[in-house]
Amino acid sequence: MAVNWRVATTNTGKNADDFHNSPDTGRLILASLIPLAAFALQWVFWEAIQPFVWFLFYPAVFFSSRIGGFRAGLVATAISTVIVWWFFLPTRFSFALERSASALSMGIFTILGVLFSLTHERLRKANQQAKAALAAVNAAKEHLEERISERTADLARKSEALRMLNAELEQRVRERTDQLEAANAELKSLFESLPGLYLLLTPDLKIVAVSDAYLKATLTTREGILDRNLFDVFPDNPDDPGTTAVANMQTSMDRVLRNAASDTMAIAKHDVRGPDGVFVERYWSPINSPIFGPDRQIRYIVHRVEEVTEFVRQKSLPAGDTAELRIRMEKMEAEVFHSSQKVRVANQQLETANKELEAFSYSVSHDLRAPLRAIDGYSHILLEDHASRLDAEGKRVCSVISESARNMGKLIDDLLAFSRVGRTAIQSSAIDMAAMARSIFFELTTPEGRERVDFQVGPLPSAVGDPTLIRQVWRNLLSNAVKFSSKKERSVIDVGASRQGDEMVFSIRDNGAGFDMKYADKLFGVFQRLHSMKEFEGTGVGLAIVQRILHRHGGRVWAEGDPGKGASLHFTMGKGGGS
Amino acid sequence: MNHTELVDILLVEDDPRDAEMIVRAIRKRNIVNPLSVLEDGAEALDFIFCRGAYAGRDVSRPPKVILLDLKLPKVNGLEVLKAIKTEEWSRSIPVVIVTSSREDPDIKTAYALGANSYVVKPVDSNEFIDAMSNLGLYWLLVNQPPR
Repeated sequence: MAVNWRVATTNTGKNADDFHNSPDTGRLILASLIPLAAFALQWVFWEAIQPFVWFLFYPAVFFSSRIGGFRAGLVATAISTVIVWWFFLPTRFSFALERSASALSMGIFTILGVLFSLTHERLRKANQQAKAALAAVNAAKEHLEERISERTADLARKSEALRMLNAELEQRVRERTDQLEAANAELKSLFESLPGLYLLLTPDLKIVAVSDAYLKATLTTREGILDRNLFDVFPDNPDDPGTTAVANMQTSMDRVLRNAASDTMAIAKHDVRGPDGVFVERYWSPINSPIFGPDRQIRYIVHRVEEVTEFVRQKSLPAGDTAELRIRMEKMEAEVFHSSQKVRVANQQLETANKELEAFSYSVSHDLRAPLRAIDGYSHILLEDHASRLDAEGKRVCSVISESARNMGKLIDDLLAFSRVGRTAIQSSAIDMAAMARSIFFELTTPEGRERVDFQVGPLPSAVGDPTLIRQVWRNLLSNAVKFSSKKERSVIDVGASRQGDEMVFSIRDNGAGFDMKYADKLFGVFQRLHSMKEFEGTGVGLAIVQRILHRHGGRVWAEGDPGKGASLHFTMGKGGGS
Repeated sequence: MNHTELVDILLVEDDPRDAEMIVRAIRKRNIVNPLSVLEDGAEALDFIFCRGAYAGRDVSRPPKVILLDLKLPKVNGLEVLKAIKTEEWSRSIPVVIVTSSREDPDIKTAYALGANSYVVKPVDSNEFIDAMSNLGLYWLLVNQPPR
């Protein structure tokens, strides 16, 4: 860049200032001509000008130096001095000086001439520098413009490349979209050609896909039902006031959405409207199953139906059968129908009861706890702020009040926990039973406490169940074992499993207080305790919760005991019971 | 009560016994910040938004923490919470829901509406005193409010 600038400076300097940069000789001649011209004028007009001998030579030297610079100024000064000395200073036409003032004037002229020359030389240089600077600025500007145009070109190239890339990407997206669409279409046709009767619904029961078999069985067309609500497409037959199909279906869908689990409906009579608008009698055995999205929320519901119309109809056909048999069949069908109705009503009642129970639990926990809090709180205030006015018995009574209130608080909490176990939906997964038992034992005990416990876990098979609930089972059983063996010098707690028939039985044995087998059936009742509060603390809800959880898993729990020698608790987990 | 005075802790609680115990627990911890007890939701809204009987209060000096029961006469706790968390300027006031029950179906709703904390009043008086005085300490001393 610097090189470019210098080149540019030289070029433009030449063009812009020819005169000042032309060879010195020309200007020197011009500079010596001006004093000669001054001499000529002064010679002619000497009569008017005298006695100012230097009169015209000051301007002459000034202009000479202005035009020719330092050297030209000096030459003009010398020429002028010689001319004036010879021609005008007395004694004229001789270099002799009559007066000393003449020498002085000559001295002043010479000094001024030199000064003019110097000044003009500096002026000239300053001018040249200014011009050079201007030229440099111009050059820089040109260079910048050049760079800008280069950059612009570069940008254009890049944006072109970007455009190409974009086009390529778009092409790829298009290809991918085509692939996806093809895959989707394949999946859709696969679904549509499934041999079973399938409907795919959104959680708000809009039909999004349907199998051909379903269309055929329900006498509908795909265009006629897609994107419509299930109940708009299949309403109850208005001519048959006894039909409950829509209500049953709604209840079942509600259950699927609430429990996030499949729901099998009873065989139902669901009349279907044909393309001609006439209702045709049909019998169905439907199952509704949820399909989960990646966020574990229900994305779709698959409604699978087995049509059993033919089966039902054949059973009721008189052909080849006696009339008696037909009547019996019809009666049986009617019974089945009635009992399914009863189940439906019972289900609805159960649901209502469940909701009421939830509201009741809330109100129990909220409203019963408030007065208890006041009882305990105010006893506390009495003990703390009015202790001086209470004797020992008064203080004891106060703490009994406190303790009873707290105890009742615990009872309420445990009762609510018990009721919650019955209400929450079970979400099953595989459970490493041995790891769970060990980790809970560690949670329940302190390092010092563990030193006096021989805790053994035998090989346990893994099981399938709700991890939160099964954890609660282990927690309650192990904390019982720890609690009831705490008065022995050394506690022995053995956890094991054994196969009995086709069931896996998990067992927890301790060497604790044990119990009399007479009372074995009382062990699992709510608030049932076989020990006094003084002996062992507790509310008597733990084993009731254990039993409830295991029942909900399809398993059971039982106990064996010997007073003073220890107890064994055994449980199975139904289908998920270990492998 | 002087309706224009500054209040650091606003307790909205309709059960006077709970209110007394909460105030006592807070004072036992030597938390002497000015505290006001209101008994229903409508009054709480008037107080916070400086309306009605509280028209003279300075809106720019809101309480440092509001302890709010959910079961309240007139306007319930959730509505009060919603009103506070809807307004831009009052959204940053910490609101702690203090209620009786862990079974409360409103816990989720309260959090969704922007409750800063949810505390179940324990039956055990020692736990109760600890819980309430810790609340006071935390929200008045530990918590750093936005400027």
